[in-house]
Amino acid sequence: MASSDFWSSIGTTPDDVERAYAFLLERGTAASSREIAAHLIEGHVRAEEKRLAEMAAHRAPTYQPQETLAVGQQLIFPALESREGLVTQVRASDNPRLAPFQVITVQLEGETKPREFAMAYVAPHPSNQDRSALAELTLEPEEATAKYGEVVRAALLQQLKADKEFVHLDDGWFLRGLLPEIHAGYLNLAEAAIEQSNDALRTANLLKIFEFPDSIKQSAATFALNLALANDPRFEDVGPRGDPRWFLTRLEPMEAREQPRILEVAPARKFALPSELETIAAELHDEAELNGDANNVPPAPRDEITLILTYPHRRAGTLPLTPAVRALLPAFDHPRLRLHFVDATTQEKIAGYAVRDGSYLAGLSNWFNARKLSPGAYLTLKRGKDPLTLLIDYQPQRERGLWVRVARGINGQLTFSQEKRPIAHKSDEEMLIVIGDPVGLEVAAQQAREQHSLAALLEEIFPELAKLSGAGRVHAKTLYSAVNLIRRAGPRAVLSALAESSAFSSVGGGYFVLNEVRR
Amino acid sequence: MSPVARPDTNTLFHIASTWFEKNGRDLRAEMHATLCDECRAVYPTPADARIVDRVSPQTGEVTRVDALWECLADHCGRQPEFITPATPLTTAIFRALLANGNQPMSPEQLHKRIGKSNAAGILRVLLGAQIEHGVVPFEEK
Repeated sequence: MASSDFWSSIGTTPDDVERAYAFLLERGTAASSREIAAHLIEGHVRAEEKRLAEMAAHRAPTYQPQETLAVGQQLIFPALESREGLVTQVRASDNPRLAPFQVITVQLEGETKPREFAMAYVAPHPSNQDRSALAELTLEPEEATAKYGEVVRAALLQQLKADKEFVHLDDGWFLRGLLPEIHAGYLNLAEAAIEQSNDALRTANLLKIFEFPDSIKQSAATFALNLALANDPRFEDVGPRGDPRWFLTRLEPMEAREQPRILEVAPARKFALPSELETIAAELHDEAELNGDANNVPPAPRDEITLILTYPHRRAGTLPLTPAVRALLPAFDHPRLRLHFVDATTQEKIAGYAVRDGSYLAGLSNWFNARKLSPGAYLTLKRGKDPLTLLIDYQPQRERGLWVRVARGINGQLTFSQEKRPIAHKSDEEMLIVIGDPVGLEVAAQQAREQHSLAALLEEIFPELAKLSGAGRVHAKTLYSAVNLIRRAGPRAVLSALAESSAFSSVGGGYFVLNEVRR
Repeated sequence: MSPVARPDTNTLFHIASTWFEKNGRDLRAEMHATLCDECRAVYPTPADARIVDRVSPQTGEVTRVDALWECLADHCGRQPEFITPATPLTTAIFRALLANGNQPMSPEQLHKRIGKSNAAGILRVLLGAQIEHGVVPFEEK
């Protein structure tokens, strides 16, 4: 057996499944597949060390079919559990299909009947590989686990998943036979307790209510309850990684259960933008460019982030969950993480969710409405003292009438006008757009979805925005904000369509003009 | 009457030599017909194939076996053309068992070996009204 075969065979055999069983039985608590794999590796390394030591003690050579041996020679047979045998006879082979070889008769220890083995056998045979090549077995179990742990774990997982004796929750593995019964009554109690607290509860808190007999091990009860809750559609684990917290799915708001349609975006391509537009795109934190996975990009460590509100998020009561935003929260692996937004000024707590699929934060509709925020408003998210809180703030200012862009949908077309409107918050001037007619915008969005490419949409919107500016210039951010009134699109998609279009020319500073022939 | 377990995709099947005898067919002749050209040159007729040494591919142990089984298990059965996508399913099942030295195999194992149909489909074929190539459920004695 070659060294690579030795490592890749660990975790694949029924014996290893038995060892995993015994390990969990003795331990009495759930273990991760990594821990079980490490245990198996340690067992195999120790067994191999013992085997090598025994072979060294015997000083007998290892049987290899290719070698020539004499009557009276002692041999170790690695393929037969390293048993020792004595060569008692030699004869010629009898097989016209094979090159001639010799056959030795061997009396194995503990057996009464002799067996025969090939000798001077030149055809390839696995027993011809030198077992001393397993020098890597001088590795300590910890080193071996670091080097081969993942291979062993993958093989082991296949075996464990196929064996009904094992149960798992995420990557915690346990024995079905050791689980205390969690009957329907316990689950009904859990449902009532969560509903009463109107917040997610830890498994330990629920167990306190159940008053299990002392004879039941706490760790086994915790695993059993987690498993039962995970398999009951009434409940959902909305806690961070390694800290299950259970909530009722029926109490979760719709926008946290299903991605609001207005946030749906086509998969993003990688666009190479001119450096000026790249800088602008990088400032606009938008989950539309993540292709649904905020873990794709390692987040830069920071304690707060300023976002600019866009129309789709304003309508959905959500915010983007970009890597930078996700870095403010503990890691989570389940579809939703329940958290609380804390208003930085009033300290009001608002239940919210970080939603994995779609990468957004949900639960802010009322907060946005109460502050009359328009698309373009600055918002700040800050890491809270409690890891499951996010401080949220905007930049209030005395309400006064300002000349701003107002968007309407007229006959299915997106139109803009400059109007004096009361604004009570600071915002990015290029992105601020007040919504004049949400229903009309929805009709325009419907047409935009059905009819237009992004480039065509830009050509339609641009003149509408250009007419509001004396010089006919429109900023790239304004176009991004305007496009998102009727079509969900990430900044790079919008800016790329802008840069690639022959209809527009850059005049610097992020501004564009319509080319002469198009006017 | 003792209860009979309903065969499933893990039930073991093998080639029953008694089936060939009862049906007037010659298992060794059919085995010989599946040999590759190289092995047929060594054993031109079934009668030429006698008891020979076989070297275990795992342990190197030598056993005395029928030369036809030795050829099929250690040579012909390992050739890519022994079972191909064009081989009919019942023939492929028969050949897979020949190549396995008639060690019993389940429909799951047969499916993995021949890469055709699926385990349930193979089970249906094996339990069909017509027994093909003497492949029947294996009963431990």
